[in-house]
Amino acid sequence: MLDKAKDFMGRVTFVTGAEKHCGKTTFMNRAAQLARRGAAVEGRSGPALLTVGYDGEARDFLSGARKPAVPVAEGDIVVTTERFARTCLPEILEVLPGSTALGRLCIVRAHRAATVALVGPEGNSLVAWAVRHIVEEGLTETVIVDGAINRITQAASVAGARFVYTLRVDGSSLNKSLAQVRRIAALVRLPVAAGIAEAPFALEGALTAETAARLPREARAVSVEDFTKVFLADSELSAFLRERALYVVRRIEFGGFVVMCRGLSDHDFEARLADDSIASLVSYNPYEPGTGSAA
Amino acid sequence: MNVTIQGGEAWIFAQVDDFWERYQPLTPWGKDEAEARIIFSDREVLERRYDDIDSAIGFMRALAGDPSSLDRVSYHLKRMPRMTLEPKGSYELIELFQIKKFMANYRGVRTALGDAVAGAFGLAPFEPGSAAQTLAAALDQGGSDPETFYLADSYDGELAEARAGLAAADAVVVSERAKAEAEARLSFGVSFDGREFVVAPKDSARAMLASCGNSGEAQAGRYAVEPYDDARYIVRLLPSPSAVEALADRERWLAAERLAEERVVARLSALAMAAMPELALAVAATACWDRARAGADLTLRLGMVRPLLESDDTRLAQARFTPCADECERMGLSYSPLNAEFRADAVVLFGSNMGGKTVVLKTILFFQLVAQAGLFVPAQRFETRVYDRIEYVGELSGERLAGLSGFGLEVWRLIAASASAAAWAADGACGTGRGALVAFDELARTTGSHEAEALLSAVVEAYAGGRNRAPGNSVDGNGADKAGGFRTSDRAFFATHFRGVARLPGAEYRRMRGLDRAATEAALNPVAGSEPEGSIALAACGDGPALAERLAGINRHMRYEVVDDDGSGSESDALAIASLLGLDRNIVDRARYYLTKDGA
Repeated sequence: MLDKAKDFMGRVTFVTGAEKHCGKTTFMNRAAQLARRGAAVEGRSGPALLTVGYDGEARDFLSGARKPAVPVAEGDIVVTTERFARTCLPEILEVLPGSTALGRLCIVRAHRAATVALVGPEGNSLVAWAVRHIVEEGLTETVIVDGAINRITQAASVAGARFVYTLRVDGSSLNKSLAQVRRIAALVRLPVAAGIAEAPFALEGALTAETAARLPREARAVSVEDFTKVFLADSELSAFLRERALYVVRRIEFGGFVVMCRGLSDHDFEARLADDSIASLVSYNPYEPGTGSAA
Repeated sequence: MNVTIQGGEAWIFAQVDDFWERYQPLTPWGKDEAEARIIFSDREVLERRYDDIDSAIGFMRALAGDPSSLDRVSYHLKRMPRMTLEPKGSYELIELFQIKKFMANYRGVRTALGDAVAGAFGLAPFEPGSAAQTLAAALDQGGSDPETFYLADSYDGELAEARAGLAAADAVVVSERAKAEAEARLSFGVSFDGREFVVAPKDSARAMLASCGNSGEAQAGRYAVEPYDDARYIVRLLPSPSAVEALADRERWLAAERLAEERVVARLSALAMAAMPELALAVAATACWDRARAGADLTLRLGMVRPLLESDDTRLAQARFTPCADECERMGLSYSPLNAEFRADAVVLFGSNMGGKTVVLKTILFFQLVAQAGLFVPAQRFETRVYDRIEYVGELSGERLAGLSGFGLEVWRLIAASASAAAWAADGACGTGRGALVAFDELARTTGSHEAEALLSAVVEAYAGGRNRAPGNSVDGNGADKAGGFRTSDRAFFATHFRGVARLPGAEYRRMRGLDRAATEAALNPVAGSEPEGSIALAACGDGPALAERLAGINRHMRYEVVDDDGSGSESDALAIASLLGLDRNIVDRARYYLTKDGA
């Protein structure tokens, strides 16, 4: 899972994560490499690479490499500022509305392989605009987005997109990471409200501890727009689901977890997860070749 | 003189935004103008804009059987980018891209429109030998598509040479990397497979480290190794001596490429600067066509007509106030277009609650604003003249002003309108002496009826004296009224339910026809077992028909028509409306008792 070209080709994938330095960019680079190879074999266009906002962190958690560093190949589509794209001999295809502190963003096609710094739009609407433009203009069908920290909401901004969720796990963060994985797994499996015999109570906006407390007692089934509107912690969500059924109006496709263990083995993580249905959604460090690794 | 003003509060009161969102220019410049919501007070400008819309309508009708041609025009307009029109010594690559993309789509629009229509709107071709044509030819060298741009090798011989050098260096680096990956796989069983680094088991990494030499000399070998955790190391491939040489070459070629690119950008920038005057004209012509097309599209979709701007009177025939018509449609209610004619400088419009007098006021402002925004209007006919200002005096939803009561706020707004008129008149550069169109909605509604009628009468009098007042009598040299501040050429509409407003010469008095009393009576007091269509059973609030049904009942029986008012009637429909809305019958009956007792 998440280790073959077909896992990324012909779709929009948001690489998200819970925190900084969780290996999103490094995973995106590997995914792009696989997609590029697959596209070459099938005679299709290479991937489009973009990021949300600008990550000013100097080094990536996983590789330790200076960031941002995204290798692109000839024919890749890239969203960044023209200045940052210069190394790849960019052909400008479109300019995004508005501007950033680092300059105007544009969609370019790389005319040679190089390493570029990605700068992306901050808002979900502009991310969606850029992705739509890339796909609708036929620039490529494969788009990989390096997501902003802790914001899965961006995946909801593009119809038909899916997201993968990267985590770094070490001994001290194991329990917290397991809780995150269980919570996301529960959320992405929420049933869709359409087709339910008795329409659930439609909650506008976010489901938080406060809005949950204000729900009518008789509302045994509740729907939210999509799972990104659920802002309940793991324990709160479990308590909520014991009392009420929770539905989503729109499902956001989930690609799986990418777990990068440090100081403990992949086997240890899986044993502590102790849930085969979730374990089947987990891939491991794509830079550690071997069974079970992502990409 | 082309005077433009903002619609302001009149725009808000008349709900023009509800209509405006349907007006959809496609280019950045058309969108900018639409966003600015400009009201023109120069008739020549307006007539020119109407002519443009007429031309666009002609074009669209001629191509009605060929929708793909119309689509081509829209396609190119939509793709036009915002771009700089500023002449400058150096343009960024993004700016050159935008210029190229504009020129490509400009040519596309011209082709789709044909020479006649394009020429009529000033969309001239870029003539051979012109600065614009030279620029277009130069920009077309860079990019795989007419709408994309890059600094192609063909621009400069040294640029091509530098890039060839870069490609050769890159080929060496790639080849050396492939060799190193193969060696790592064969010698140590570690597969990089294109990865920048791998996380390898400690034993494998140690063996790789050992192959580099004795401890402490790892950097001199083929691998860089560092701990990842207690069981694994991160391993990177280091470049071979050949690859290092190639990377050094690469740096040299990159520097040469940068210099060559700067030369190319300088040359293209000089061409762009020379072409800017032509590009500015092309943008202006494109914007003109874009707004005409958007106006024509709206006209055809809504069945609108060209306003006639040479009438001192205000005449509306089958005038559809679209925000209200749309709302009625959403609520399942019928909408009655307005047919009315107003001649006096002061028009007083009476009407009962929910009788439609405020909607008439909104309709008049709506039509005047849309017409002076340069668009056609949704009516069978609309005759008016151009006003320097279009104003509204009344309450706006949710408006508050600290320290003022409701009445205080009303008076404050009245003073502001008066001051605005005086300031406008005093400014010699503004206005053309055509005055203002002002709408007063329920002026003085928040105070006692006796004083309210007196105040309203005085304001009506100030406007009604307008055209009949002798010059120099009470008007200063700029046309501003010395006493009230209102100009002699202003026209004011007053919606009110105060029947005691003074009957003054020079003012017109109208009323809404109101409820069809017979039908309402039948609906309110149906004979058991023979309820007529539309009857509404009386019930206390919360126990009867839903609000939507009650509104439908009022809508069925209300006659939304403007008729002359001779001052003889004093009846209001308020109690009937209250009944139709479901107010307790006992309360309504007692209200009738008091009404009869006090008024009979």
